[in-house]
Amino acid sequence: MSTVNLSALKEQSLESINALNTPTDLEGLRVKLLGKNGEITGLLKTLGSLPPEERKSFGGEVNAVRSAVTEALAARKEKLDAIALEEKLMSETLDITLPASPLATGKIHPISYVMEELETIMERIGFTTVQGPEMETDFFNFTALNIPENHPARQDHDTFYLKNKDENGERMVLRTQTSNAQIHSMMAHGAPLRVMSVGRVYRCDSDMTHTPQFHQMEGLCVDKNITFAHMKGVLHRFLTEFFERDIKMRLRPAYFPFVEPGAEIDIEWTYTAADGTQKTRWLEILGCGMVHRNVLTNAGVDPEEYQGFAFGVGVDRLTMLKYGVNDLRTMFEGNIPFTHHFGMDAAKVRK
Amino acid sequence: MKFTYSWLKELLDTDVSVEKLCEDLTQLGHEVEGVEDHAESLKKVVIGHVLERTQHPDADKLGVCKVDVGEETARQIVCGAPNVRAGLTVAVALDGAVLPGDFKIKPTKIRGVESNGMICSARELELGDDHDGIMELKCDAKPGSDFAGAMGHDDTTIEVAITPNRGDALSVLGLARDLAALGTGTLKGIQLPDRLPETEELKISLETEYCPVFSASHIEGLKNIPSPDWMQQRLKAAGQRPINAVVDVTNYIAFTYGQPLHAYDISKLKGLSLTARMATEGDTFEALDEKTYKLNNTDIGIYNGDRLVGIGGIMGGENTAVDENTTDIILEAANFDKDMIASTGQRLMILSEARHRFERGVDAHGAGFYNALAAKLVTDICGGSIKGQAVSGAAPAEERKITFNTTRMESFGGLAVNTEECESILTKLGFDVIQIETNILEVTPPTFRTMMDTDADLIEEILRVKGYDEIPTILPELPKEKTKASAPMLSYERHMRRKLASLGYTEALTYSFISRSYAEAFTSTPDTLVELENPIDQVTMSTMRPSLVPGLLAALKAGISRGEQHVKLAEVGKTYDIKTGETWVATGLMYGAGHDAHWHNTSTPADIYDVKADALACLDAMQVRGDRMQISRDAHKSYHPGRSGSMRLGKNAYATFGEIHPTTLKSFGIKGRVFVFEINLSACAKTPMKGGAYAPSSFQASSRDFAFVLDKAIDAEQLLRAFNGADKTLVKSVNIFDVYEGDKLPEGKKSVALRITLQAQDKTLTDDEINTICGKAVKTVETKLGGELRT
Repeated sequence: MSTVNLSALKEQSLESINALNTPTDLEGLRVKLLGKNGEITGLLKTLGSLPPEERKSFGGEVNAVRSAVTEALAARKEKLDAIALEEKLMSETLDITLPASPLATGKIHPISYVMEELETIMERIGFTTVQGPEMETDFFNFTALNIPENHPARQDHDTFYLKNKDENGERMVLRTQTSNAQIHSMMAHGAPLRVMSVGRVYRCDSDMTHTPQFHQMEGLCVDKNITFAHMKGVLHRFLTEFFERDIKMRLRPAYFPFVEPGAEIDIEWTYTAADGTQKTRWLEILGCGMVHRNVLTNAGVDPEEYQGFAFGVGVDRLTMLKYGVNDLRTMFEGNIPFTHHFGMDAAKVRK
Repeated sequence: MKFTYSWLKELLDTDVSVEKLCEDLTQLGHEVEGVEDHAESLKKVVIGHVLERTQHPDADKLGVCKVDVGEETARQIVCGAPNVRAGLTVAVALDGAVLPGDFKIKPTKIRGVESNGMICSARELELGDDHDGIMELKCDAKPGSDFAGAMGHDDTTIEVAITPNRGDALSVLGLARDLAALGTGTLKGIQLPDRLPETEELKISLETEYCPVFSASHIEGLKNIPSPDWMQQRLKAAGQRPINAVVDVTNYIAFTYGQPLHAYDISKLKGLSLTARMATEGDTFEALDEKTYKLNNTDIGIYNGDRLVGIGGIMGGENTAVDENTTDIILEAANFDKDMIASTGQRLMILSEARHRFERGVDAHGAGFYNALAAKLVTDICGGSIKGQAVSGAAPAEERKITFNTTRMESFGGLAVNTEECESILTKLGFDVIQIETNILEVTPPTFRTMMDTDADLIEEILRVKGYDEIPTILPELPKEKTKASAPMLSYERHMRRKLASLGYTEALTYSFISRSYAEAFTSTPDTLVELENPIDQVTMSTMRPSLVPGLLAALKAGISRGEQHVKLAEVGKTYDIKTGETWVATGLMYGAGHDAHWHNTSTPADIYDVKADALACLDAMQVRGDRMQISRDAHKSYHPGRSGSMRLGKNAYATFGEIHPTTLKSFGIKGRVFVFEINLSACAKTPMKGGAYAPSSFQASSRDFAFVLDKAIDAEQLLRAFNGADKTLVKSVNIFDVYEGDKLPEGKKSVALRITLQAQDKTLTDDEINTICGKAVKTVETKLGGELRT
C-alpha cells in the first residue's frame, strides 16, 4: 500500500461527503467508510499485519484520514440537519395576519381614573386621602360648614333628603359636597392636617349639564401659618400637574359659607371656535378659600391657633376637560362603547 | 342681576369701556355672566325719511317707498305697513343687518318689485310688542344716522352673578359703591327728596319683632299710565315686564337702590290701616302670582283689618293690587327678618325679587327714605298728591365693631397691605374705621352690609379691591410626615377596579338610587332600605341601592338594545342600608360568550363557574382566601335558586355569585342568561390577611386518581373535604378532573373523578404511606357520602 492511495481516499471521501444531500445517503457513506466493514476500518484492520516500523507511520496516516472523514461527516450532517429544519419550519408557515385570539379587554371608567390621578397628585404635594360618608347628617353637610338653616346658600344645593333619621333623630341628607370630610377628619385628627377626599355627591338637579349624582374632590390644609398665598401655590401646582402644562390662572372673589375670604379660580383655556380658529377664554375650574373660623370651631380646632385653606373641584368636569369627553350624561349609563373609548387600561402607563 | 351701563352711570360718574367695567366687576367678586350690546344687534339699522309712497302694481296691501337713508339717491323699499307714508321718519334695516331671530336683510324682489332694505316695526327690532305698523320716529337725526345712537338704544346690558353675602349688591347703587371703591368712577350723591309730611289718617301697626320697620306713604289722585320709555327699557333690561307706572316705580326703586316696595290700591282696602304681624294659622291668601297659599304662624302677614293682604317681604295679594284704573295708593317700604323670609319662602316655594333681597338682607335704614323717593317718582310720572307718610318702628341698633390687626393681611391674606391703605379702602367701601393702635383698627361695617363678623371678612374686602391676582403664589414647604388620617378602603377600591379591568370587565358608574321594586328584589332586608324623601323620579330613583346588580342589569339591557352580544360589566361602589350603613362592593356581570365566533377560539357561553373564578380572583387580590371558604346556597331571591351561592367564613359572607333568576331578568326585559358576582370589600378589608410560611419540598410528589359513583345531591365540596382532610400536612392538592352524569349511570347518580397529590417535606413517600392516606379518604367517601369507588 502506498501513501498516494491514502490521500486519494481522503480526497475522494471528502468530496463524496460534501456532495451528499440527505441524511440517509450520508449515513450510507459513513457505514461504507467507517462501518464495521468500511473501507477505512478495513485499512485499520490491516495494521496488525504490518511490520512495527511501518505500522506506526501508516497507522498515523490512516487515523488522520479517519478523523478528517469523521469531522467532515459531522459537519455535513449539521449542515443537512439545519437545511432540513429550515425546510420543516418553512412548511409550518402560518398566516400571521389572521386575527389574534380574543382577549377580554376591560377598561377603567375615566372618572375613576381621574380620581386616582387627583389622589396621586395631592399625595405628592403632601396631602393624605380620607373619605366621608355619602349618607350624612344635616349637621356635617351644612351646619358645621357654617351653613345654618335658612342660609340662602342652602337653596343652591338642591338637597336630597332621606326618609330615615340618624340614631339621634337628626335629619339625614345625601351629601351635596365632599366638604363633610373636612369636618370628620378635623374632628378625628385635629390640627395640623392636610387631607383630600374624592367621591360621589348628590344634588336634586337633572338636565343636559347636570346629573343628580356627580363627583367632587375636596382639599383641606390647616396649620399655624398657612396663608391665602399658600393656597394659590398649592392650587397652581395641582392644576399644573393635573393638566400637565403650566397653567395660567385667575382668582375672583366668590362666596362659600365655609371660607372667608373665598375665591373661584379660572384657568386660561384654549378652544376651537365655531369658525375653526383657536381662541382662549377664562374657564371656571374650582372654588376655594381660607377656612372660616366657625368651621374650625365647629370641628374642634382653635381658630386662634390654626388657620388654613380648603378647596373643592368637580371631578366630572375635570375629566371632561382633560380627556375631551363632551357628554356628561353618557358617563353614568354603563355605556360600553363610551368607556372603551374614553376609559383606561388597567395598567395604563402615565406619560 | 341685570342692569344697563347708562343706568349705572346715573349713580357712578365714569367713562370706562364696557370691557374694563366687566373686568372691574369681576375683580370685585361680581362675576359677569353676560354682556348684551344693543347697538350691536341694531347694526346697519339707520334713520330714514320716507319721501314718497306709491301703490305696488301687483299687491293691494303693499306700498313702494322711496326712502332717504343719507345716500346719493333714495332707496326703493317695498313696505306693507298700513301707516307708511311720505314725510315719516322711520327705522330702516339695510342689507347686512341681522334682526332678532337671525333675520338677515338683503336686497330682494317682492312681487317683481325691487326692495333694498326693510322699514321696521317695534317688534321687528324687539323694542316693543307693536306690530300693527312701522315705528313713526320723533327724531332730528339726519337720514343715514345710526338708529341705535339716535334713539338711545345703544345701551349695554350687563348681567352679574351676585353672591348670597351681597344682598346690597342686588342694586345698581350697591354695584356703583363697590366700583367707586375700586376707582372705576366716582359715586354720585342721591338727590334727597323733601321730607314727606306725616299723616294721621294712615295707621300702621307693628305686632312682630320680625318686621322692625314699616313705612307707608299715601298718594291720591294719580293716573296709573304706562311708565316712561326710559324706565321701561331699563326694567326690560333687568328682566322685568313693565306693567304700569306704579308697579314699575316699585320695581325700579328695588333694582336701583335695593329696597323692595309694594303698592296697595286703596279702593280695594277697607280703611287706611295696615298691620304687620305673624299670620293667623291657616289663613289663605291669593298672591299676585295667582296661586293660593296657606300661611301659618311663622309667616309674616300684612293685614288690612283682619284681611290678609300680603305675605310680608315676599309677595302682595291679587285682591289689593294696583291696576290701570287705580287712583289712590298706599306705597309700602318695610324691612323683614331675613331668616323668617327665607323659611317662609322655602316652605311656600315662592320666588320673588322681594324675597330674594330680604333673605339676603336689606338695610333697614333705607325703608323710610326710599319710600319717600318712590312716592316722589310716582307723582312725577302719574300726577296726584302725596298725602303723607307714616313710619312705624325703627332700624334695629346693632353693635358690630371688629378689631382688625392689619398685619393679618399678610399672615392670613397672603398680601401685605399697610394700615393706611387698609383704612382707606375700608372707608371707601362705607366702613367706619378708627385706628386705636399701631396696626390695629376698630372697624364698624355699614348697615347695608350683611355677614360682616370677623377680620377675615375685612381682609376679603381689602383683597378684592386690591385684586386677588396681586396676592403672591407660594408653594408652602409642607411637612414630610403624612397626616395620620387615612382611608384604606380607597386603595382597595382602586385595586379592585384594576383587577376587574384586567379580568376583562368594563367599569360602569351607575346611579346610587334605583326603583323601590328593584331594591326590594336585591336585598334580603327590605325593611332597612334607604329611601329618598324627594327623589328626582318617584318611580325609578326613589331608593338607595342595596346592590350594584340592578344598575348593571339596566346598563346591560341598554347594551343589548344597542346590539351588544357579549358583555362584561363591573362596578366598584357603595351599597346603602339603614342598619349597616355604607358598604363597599365590587360587582361583575357576564352575559354572552365573551366573544363572537372566532376562527381560533371556540365561543363558549359564560356560566356560573366563570363568575366563580373571577370572584375567587378578586378575593385573592383582596388577600382573602376564597378557596378556604364554605359555599352555601343562600343567595337572595333574585338569583337562580339552584345556581347561586355565597362564600363565607363563619357568619361573614365575602362573596355571592350565580346566575340571575329568569323572572328578575324578565323585569329588566333581558333574554338569555346573566351571571354575576358580588364581593363585599368592606368585609374583606376587616379580615386580616393570612399568608402561610413558604416551605417548598425537594422530595418527589406523588399522585393517585380515583373515581366515585355518588348521589347527585352530594356536593363536590364534601368529596374534596374528605380527601383534603385525610392528612392535613401531606395532601398538597385535590383536583376534580371529570364529572359525568348520564345514561351510563343509574338514575340520580353521578361519577366524579379526582386526582390527589401528596408530598412530604422530609422524604419521598412510600407506596404504603400513600395508600394508607388514600385508603382513609376512600373509606370516608364510601361510609359518609355513600360513594362507590369505580375501578
